[in-house]
Parts: sequence; C-alpha cells; structure tokens
Amino acid sequence: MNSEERFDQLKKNVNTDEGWTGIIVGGSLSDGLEVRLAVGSSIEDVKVGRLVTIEGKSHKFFGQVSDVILESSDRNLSAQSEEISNGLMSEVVTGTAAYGLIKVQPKLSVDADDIRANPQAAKTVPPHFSKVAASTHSDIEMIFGEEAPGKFWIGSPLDMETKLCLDINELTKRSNGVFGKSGTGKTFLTRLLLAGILQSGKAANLVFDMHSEYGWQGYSETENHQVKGLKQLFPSKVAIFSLDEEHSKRRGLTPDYVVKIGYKEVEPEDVEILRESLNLSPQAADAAHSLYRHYGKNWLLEFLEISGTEAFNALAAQLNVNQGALSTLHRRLREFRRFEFMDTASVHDSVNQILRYLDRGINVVLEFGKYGRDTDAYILVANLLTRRIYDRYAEYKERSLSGIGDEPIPLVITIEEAHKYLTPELANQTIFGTIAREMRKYNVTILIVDQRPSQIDEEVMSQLGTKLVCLLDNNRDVDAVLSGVSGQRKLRSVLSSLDSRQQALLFGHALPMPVEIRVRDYGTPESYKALGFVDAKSKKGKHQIDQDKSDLFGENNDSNLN
Amino acid sequence: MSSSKQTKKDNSSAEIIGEVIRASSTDFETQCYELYKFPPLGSLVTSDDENPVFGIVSHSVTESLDPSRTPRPRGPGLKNVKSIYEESPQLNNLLTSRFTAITVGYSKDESVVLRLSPVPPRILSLTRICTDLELNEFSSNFDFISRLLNSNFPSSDDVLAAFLNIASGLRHDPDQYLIEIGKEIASLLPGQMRRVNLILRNASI
Repeated sequence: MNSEERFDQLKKNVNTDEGWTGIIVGGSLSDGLEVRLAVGSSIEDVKVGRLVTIEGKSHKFFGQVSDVILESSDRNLSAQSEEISNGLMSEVVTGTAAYGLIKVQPKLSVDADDIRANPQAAKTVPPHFSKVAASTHSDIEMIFGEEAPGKFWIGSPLDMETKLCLDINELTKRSNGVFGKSGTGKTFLTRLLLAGILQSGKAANLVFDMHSEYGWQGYSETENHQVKGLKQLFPSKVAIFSLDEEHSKRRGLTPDYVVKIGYKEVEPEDVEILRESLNLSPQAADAAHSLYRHYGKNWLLEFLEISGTEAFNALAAQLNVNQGALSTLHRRLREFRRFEFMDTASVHDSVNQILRYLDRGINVVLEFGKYGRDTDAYILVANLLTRRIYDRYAEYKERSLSGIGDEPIPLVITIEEAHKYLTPELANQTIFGTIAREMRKYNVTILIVDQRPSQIDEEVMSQLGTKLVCLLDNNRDVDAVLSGVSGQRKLRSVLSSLDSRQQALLFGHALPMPVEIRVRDYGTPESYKALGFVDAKSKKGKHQIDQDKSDLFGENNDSNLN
Repeated sequence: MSSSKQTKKDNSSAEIIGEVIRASSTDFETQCYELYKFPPLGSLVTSDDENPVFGIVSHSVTESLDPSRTPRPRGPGLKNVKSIYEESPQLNNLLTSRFTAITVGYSKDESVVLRLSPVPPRILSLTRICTDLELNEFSSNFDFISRLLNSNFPSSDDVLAAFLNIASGLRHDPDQYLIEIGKEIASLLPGQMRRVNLILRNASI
C-alpha cells in the first residue's frame, strides 16, 4: 500500500455506504441516546425517523432517529464564526469542534449470539462508544420479517428501498384503524391492506365501500387515472355486491349480487344509531322501541303507512309517547322511502348471500353507488348487515366451541366515516362498538378508515390493535390516535412531518416497533404484478382456469352460487 | 494554494548535509558541512546511522565557531554581502550553521514508528534530508502532530505549519490533505480554533 492509498484508507474508515456513522456518547433509555456523528459523516444524510442499528457488546439494538442537533465543543465558536467560515477552516471545524449530534430512541434489542430470535423491546441501552449506523436491508428484514405468506409488504422505511412487512396474522387478530386527513392516501393504504389480508387467506374481508373505490376500480387523484380494484386483481377471490345496480352497470360491471333490505329487517336499534344524523330527540328514538313492541317485526312499514292527525294521536296515546316525538319520527323515517334498496318484501337473503361467499373465503365488497353520498343509508345498511352477520358468527363460534362445527374463518369488516356513528354517544349502541370492544371473541374484527379519529369513542380507539396513520394535523386527532402509545411526544413530531402523500406511520401489534413508511406503489402495471395479478392478455393456462373454478365454486362444480 | 506545487530537488539520492553534534531523547542538533546549507524550517530529516531517527527541523542558527570571537558589522558603505564572503573566504571556517530537529519517530525493520526513539542518535551520525517518498509515507499518519505541538519548543506552531506546507505540496490535493490533518489538529487543540486556523493559514501560504 503506498502512502496515497493509505491516506485514502484513513479517510474511508469514517465513511459508510449510507454516508454516516456515529458513536454513542451519552443519553438514557427514556430520553434517547446521544450519538456523535463520526468525522466525515454528513449531517444532511441523517433524517428523523431513520431506523438505525447499534452494535452493543452482547446485544444488537435497533432504534429510530428522533432528533438531529448541531453541537459544538467550543463555546467561542460562534464568536469566531466569521473567521472560521472562510476557507479550509470551516471544513476542518465541521466534525471536530462543531459536530452533528443525533438523538436515537432505542426500541428493540436482539441477542448478538442469536440474531434469529425475535427482537424484544429494549429494556437497557448499549454502552458508551458503541457504533451506530443506519440499518441495512438485512437488519430491516430481521426486525420486520421477510416477505412471505402471512407477511405482507406494505411499503419501505423512509429513505430506504427495503421491503417492510406487516404481520397479517397479528393484524387480523384485532380491530385496526387507518387514519389520515382527506387526500393523504388512506384509500390506497386500505386497498393495499385488504389485498394483503386477501392474499394471505388468513381472513375474509367484508368491505362497506362507501365511494365504490375498493371493489372494481378506484381513482388516483395524483396520477389522474383509474386504478384497479380488488375484483380486477383477484377475480376469483372477490365478489361485488351492490346497493345501486344502475351505478354498477354504468361502470360496466355486473355485480355478483344486488342487495335489497326489507322494511321488516330494520330494527329500533338501527333508528337509534341514526338518531344524530336524522336529528331525532332521544324521546323520538325511544318511540321506535315502543312501536316495535306494538307492531312487531313489521313495525316500520305499518308505522309509515299511518296518516292523519287522529290516527297519530290515538297511536301516541296507546303507546304512551309524546305525540310530537312520534310525528317527528314519522317524518324522518319517511326518508327511507327514497332508498330504492328498501323493499316491502319479506326478509331478504342478503345476509345469507354475503355469508355464503365469506364462508368460502371469498371477500365481499358492498358498493353503495349513489347511496355512498347518503350517510344515513350507509349507516343503516352497514349496521344492519353487520349486526346479523355478527350474530351468525357468534352462533358459528359457539357451535365450534361445543365441537359441532368448524371454526368460522376470521372476518374483517371495513367501515368508513366511522366518526359519524362510533361517537362516544353512539358507540355503545352500534354493533361496531361491540365488535371493537369484544375483539376477536367471535372471529370478527373491524378495520376503521376515518379522517376524524378525535370524534371516535375513546374506548373504541383504545381497542384498536394496529394503527396506520397518514398525515394528521389537527391536534385533537393526533392526540386521539396516539393516546396510550409510549413515546407519544416523539411519534407526534414524526407524524406531523409526514408527507401529505404516500407516507404513513404504522404502530401496534402487527409491527415490533413504530415505523414511518413510504407506502408501496399501487396503480402501475408493475405494482399489480407484484400483488400477484396476471394480465388477462397473457393467456391463462387450463390449470389456472381450473384453479380459479375450484377457488370460486369449491372442488365440486355443482355449487348453487352459479 | 496551487496544487501544482512541485518539489524543487531531485530526491532520488539522499542528501547528506551534516553530522549530529548533540543528541537527546526529544531532539538532536546537526552541524552543517557548509555554511548556510541547512534545510528549510519544517523539513523532515533523519540521522542516517544504524538506528535512524526522524526529526523535524525546528530551529536553525548560524554563529561564530568561537564564542569569544563574534562577528562585527563591516559597514556603513557596504554594498554587496556576497562580495565580502568572496573577499574573506576564512569566514566559512569561522562561522558555522547548525539546526535542531525535534524527534518525531524512528525507523524499525524498515518502517517508520511515530514515537520517541528508545535511544537518541549517536554523535557524528550523518544527517540527511528525507526523500519525498519518505516524507509522503511519514506524513500519511498524523500521530506526529501531538509530539510537535507538545514539544514545548518555541514557535512549534510555525514549525508544524512549515512542515505541513512542505508535506501538502507533495499531495495531489493539498487542500484536502490540510483539511484532514486540520481535523486532527482541531481535536488536539479543543477550544483553540484561532490557533488551529493560524497554523492552517500559514501551512497553505
């Protein structure tokens, strides 16, 4: 080695591929570790939220950069700044007397002798002068797992191209939430999550698709083009139900089933949930219960057919309810008549149809069509169907516990605009509140997609297992999302620094530690392919067709579904 | 500073300039063979005997050989100093040029060790200016800096600057070399950025 090479080597010792390294010079577990950047490391290469690996003596630690600080060891430095900033001196001082200090929050540790073991929450800190560097691809894989069945690639850590995976098993064990301001990519993230759950086969999805974005196709506002929905990507694993057949047909889609709701299926609880959106007084909502007791199952239709003041007065007297409340209720419930999916026929088969698909592991997306703009219709239908499905699941589960039937396949119900019916006042009354609280006792969980988490009942929020949060900037919303999470203050700064598109902070049961990600691309031919989509142009082999057939209709093709 | 700074001498052969006349663990003094033929301040020299010792020229002096016979001025009216030496060749025998080098390392098994030598050079060892190759190798390792800065030698900062000026001139990118070595100096002199700045400024003139 000649002297020039030796000199180059000397310089190289402080540079890594990532552009920076550092050593621990102080800190604590609670406040984070202080890491001095090595001479030659560029502070501009270190970004808040970056995952880092620390080589301790017997453990390898993983943490996250929580702050980047400009520090100087010389108090007179600022007084001499003019002199120093010129010529060679500024470069000499950078990294020596004036250096970069980063704060790293240790999150996980793993035994250095047994790096295959699952990382544990960090309960101690690495010693002084331990080396710190940006986590490599293999480190990320060690923490979050490799892409595999049950491990779904959801995106990449910021500033890295590594695949970061979610544990779908853990995800589907509890109710979850996707939050973010309008236009921050909640829908894209949710669509990916649904695809992940669908691919894993660990659970079946039932999506109450308010704006018809998940089933057949969605729309990318940034790219200004249509993107494929779940049905297009996984035709044999997704069924589209529709409340608005015309809307579906206009989009060139024949729904697998057109959902109708019988008036007889509406129960007083459904009215109670709509109390706020229908602007009903508590008395008026209570009157529905009295009506139910009076008329029985067909209460709604019979009540709506009443006309004339005398008849009202008589009914009010008979039920012992306020006449004014009763007539308000009548006026408001008349609105239901404009719902074309409401039918006077007796009980419909929608719930059974949905269950029949779900039992086979086929995911159901219920498109609301024009009713997506009508919150009342959404709340009514979602609540009504879910209540019945939940009852059936409870029944299945109890039977399986007593050894009669099989365990029902876990069900994930996706609901939107939850802040309108999971409010503290209503959460106790809706079935979704019950599901969120009772978790997976009956193998049913919910996936809440919402933009105002602060309006959602605290108890429901506290039960969510994994939260996927896009940019939120309302303080109350941020508080609601982060309540009860350790390291809240730091996560708050991470959350507010997210980009308004394609970035999210994930934390909870499906991940060993909170992490900011750049959400995986969705909408390009490559992204579809990566999700397992086979282009229709590429001719399907007979084997594939047979496979689809058996996926759709079971092994014997004599199913009553066709 | 120009990066095209070239060495002026042909360094392929060793240039012996004198002999060691005083030696200690921390420095050694050489008397030059010829009057005024001492190496520039900051040069790297070595005592070329069995155990070569490296030193950096930190102090040079020319004076009368006999302390009782000090030179006296020839003026006023003196026009040309060169002519005086031509007219009085005996001056070359009455005066002597000597220089002191701070010990910064020694040679062991053909490699340079940047520490004080276990034993000082022997008296009358030959002293020569190091070649560019030796200087390049020596200056690739920055350990000598603390020796120089802690030598308690008057004007050690200027000696260091002079050395860096010579050493950086041999590099492809002298500025980069000065930055790297500047960082080392800065870490050795915490809180003395003005001093570091002065050293580097002098080194890059």
